[in-house]
Amino acid sequence: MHDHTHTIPVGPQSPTMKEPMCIRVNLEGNYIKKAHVRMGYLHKGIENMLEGKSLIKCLYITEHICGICSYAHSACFTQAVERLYKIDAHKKAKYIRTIVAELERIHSHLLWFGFAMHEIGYDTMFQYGMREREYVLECFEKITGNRVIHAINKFGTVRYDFDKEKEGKFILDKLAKIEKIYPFYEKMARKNSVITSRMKEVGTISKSMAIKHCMVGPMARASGIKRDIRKDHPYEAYSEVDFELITETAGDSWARTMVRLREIVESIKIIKQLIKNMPEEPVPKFTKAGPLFMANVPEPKKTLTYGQVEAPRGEDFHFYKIEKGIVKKARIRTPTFQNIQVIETLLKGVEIGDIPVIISSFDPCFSCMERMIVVKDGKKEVLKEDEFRSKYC
Amino acid sequence: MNLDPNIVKILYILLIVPFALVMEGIRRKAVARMQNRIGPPITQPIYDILKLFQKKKSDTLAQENSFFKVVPFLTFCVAFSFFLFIPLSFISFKHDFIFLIYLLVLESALFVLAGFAGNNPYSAIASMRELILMVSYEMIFTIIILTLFVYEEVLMVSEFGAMFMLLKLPIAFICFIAVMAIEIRITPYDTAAAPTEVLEGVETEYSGKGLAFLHISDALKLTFFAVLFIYFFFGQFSLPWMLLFVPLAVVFFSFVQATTGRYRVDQTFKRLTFFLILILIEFVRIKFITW
Repeated sequence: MHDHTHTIPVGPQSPTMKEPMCIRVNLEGNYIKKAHVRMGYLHKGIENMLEGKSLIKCLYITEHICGICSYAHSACFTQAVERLYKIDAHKKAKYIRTIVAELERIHSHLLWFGFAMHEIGYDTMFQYGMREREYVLECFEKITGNRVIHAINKFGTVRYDFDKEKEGKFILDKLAKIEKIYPFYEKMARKNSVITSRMKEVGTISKSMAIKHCMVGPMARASGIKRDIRKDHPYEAYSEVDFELITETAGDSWARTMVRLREIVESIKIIKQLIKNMPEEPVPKFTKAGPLFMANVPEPKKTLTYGQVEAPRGEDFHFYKIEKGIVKKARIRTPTFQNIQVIETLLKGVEIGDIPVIISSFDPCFSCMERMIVVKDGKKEVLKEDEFRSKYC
Repeated sequence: MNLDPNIVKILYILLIVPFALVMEGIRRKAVARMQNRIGPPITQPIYDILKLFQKKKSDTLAQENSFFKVVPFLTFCVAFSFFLFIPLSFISFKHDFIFLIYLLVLESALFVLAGFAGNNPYSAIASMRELILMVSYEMIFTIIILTLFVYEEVLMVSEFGAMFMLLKLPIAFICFIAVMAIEIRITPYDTAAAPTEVLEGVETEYSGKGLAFLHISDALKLTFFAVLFIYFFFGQFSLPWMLLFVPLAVVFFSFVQATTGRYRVDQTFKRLTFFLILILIEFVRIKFITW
C-alpha cells in the first residue's frame, strides 16, 4: 500500500530553534504523525571539563555552562561547596546573590517572551521585550560589572559590595520602568487575538503527565504543580522574603507564557524587599588565604555534596565529589533535561505551524543540557545507592 | 515644462523597478522604526538586488527542472505588467477589470509553481499553503473588484472615477486590507512565507538571479497594491500626487505588519471565510442600500 506520509527535518539549522536540535517530522498532509528528536550537536563535555580541577577554576567554568542562566549554575556550585565545607555565607552576600538571581529571572523571562513572540511572527513584541531586557542588563552591569557572565559569586561572599543609595536606587529606577510597561505585556498576552489563538490549547501538558515526566520550573507550574525550590528548600535569602508561587492550571503554551510573565512581577517584588532590608555592614573581602585554598577551613570528612537552585527555567541540580579541594566527579542536571523528554509526545498530531510555538514554550537551552552516555559492552545495570557510591563515586 | 510623451513613457517603464524597490525599502524602514529599531537605508533593496544579480546560481538538483529556471522570470514579467494597468494620462492600456483579476491570479499561480519546482519539502509545504488560501482569497478579491465596478457601473479600469470609496463601501475596504495582507505576504496572513515555520517558503532553494526576480516581483506587487489601495478607495490622482500617496500607503501596510502576529493556516482560512461572507453581504447591499 502506498504510504501518504513524507518526512522533513526541522533543524539543526532552522529559524524555529535558536540552538541546534533536529526533529525528524513524519507528516501526513499538514499534520505530524510521528516526531523523532535527535540531539548531540552542542555537547561541550562540561562535566568532564570540571573533573580534576580546583574549586576556584570550577567556579569559573560553571559560570560558562549557560549564557542566560550563568548565575544559577555558579550559585549551584557555590552552594554545593559551601554545604560541604560548612561555610555560612555573609548575610549581605546572600541578599546580593538573591538580587542577582531574581534579576536573571526577569532577564531570562523577557528574552523568552521576545523569542516566543518572534516564533508567531510578532516581531514588534520581540523588539519590545529586548528593550525592557536592556534595563535589566544595565542593572547587572551596575552590580557585577558584567552584562552576561556576572561572576559575582565567591565562596562565602560576593565579589562586589552593594551600596543601598547608589546601586539600590539605580536598580529601583530601572525596575520601575519595567513595572510601568508590564501591564501592556499582560494585556497583550490575555487579549491579543493572534497570541491567544496561536497559544491556547497548543502543546497541552496535563498535571498527571507533568508529574510522570518529572517536569520542573514554569513548565510544571503551568500544569498546576506547586514545585519551586525557592519555596520547597529555601536557600540564600528566600526564607526572608514574601512572594507568591505562580501557578496556572491549563498546561498549554499560553499558560506557560502567563506563568513566566507573572513571575516577572514577583521577582520585582522580591528585589524591592531585599533592597529595603539590605544589611548596612560591608561584605567581607575575599582573600587568597580564605576558603579558596582551604587555609582556615578544615577538610571535611564527607566528599559528596550537591547544590539545588531554582534557575529561570526550573530546578538546577549539581552533584559533586570533592576531595582535598579538587572536583573528582561532577554531574549537572539542568532544567531543560527534565522538561524536554515530553516533546515527542506533544508533537504528535499537531499542525506543522505549531512546532515553533510548542518548542519555544519549553524555553529550551540545549548548550547546557547535552550529555553523553558511554555504554560499554552494551551492558545495562541497575544499582542500589550503596553500590552506586562504591562503584562510581 | 513639457516633455515628449514618448520620453515620459520610456522613463515610466525604466523607473518602475527602482521605484518599487524604494517602496520596499520604505516598508522595511517604517517597520524598523515602529519596532524601536533604526533599520536599513531605504535604498538597501536596490543594493541587495544588484548583489544577487552578481551571484552564481545554487548547485541544487532542482536546476534540472526547467520550471525552476523560467518561473522566477515569468513571475517578474507578470508583476511588471501590472503597472500597465495604472490609468495615468500618458499611459493608457484599455483593458477591463477581468483581465486585471486574471493577471493577479496568474502571479499567485506562478508563485505556487515556483515553490513546487524548488524540489524542497519546505517550499512544497509553502506552495500547498498558498494553494489552500488561493481558493479563498482570490474569490474575495474578485468580489471586491466586482463590487467596486458594479457600484460605479463601469467596465474599464481607466473609466473608474470615484473619490473616497472607503466611505461608501467600508466593508469592501476592510476585506481589501485582509486580501492585501495575503497577496503581499505580510502579517497577520503571511502563512505561505512564514520564516519560522517553513523557512523562506517558496524561495528556499532559489539563489542568484532567480531569487532576485522573485524579490523584485514581491516589491512590484507591494507597490501595485499600494497604488490600487489609493486608486480604488481614496481617489484617482495625477502622477505627482500618486508619488506622494503611495509611500503613505506603504507606511500603512508597515503599520499593519508591525502590529500583528501570524495566524496558523487553518485559522487564516477560517477568517478568510468570514471575510468572504462579509464581502458577499456588501455585494448584495449595494443593490438595495447605498449612501
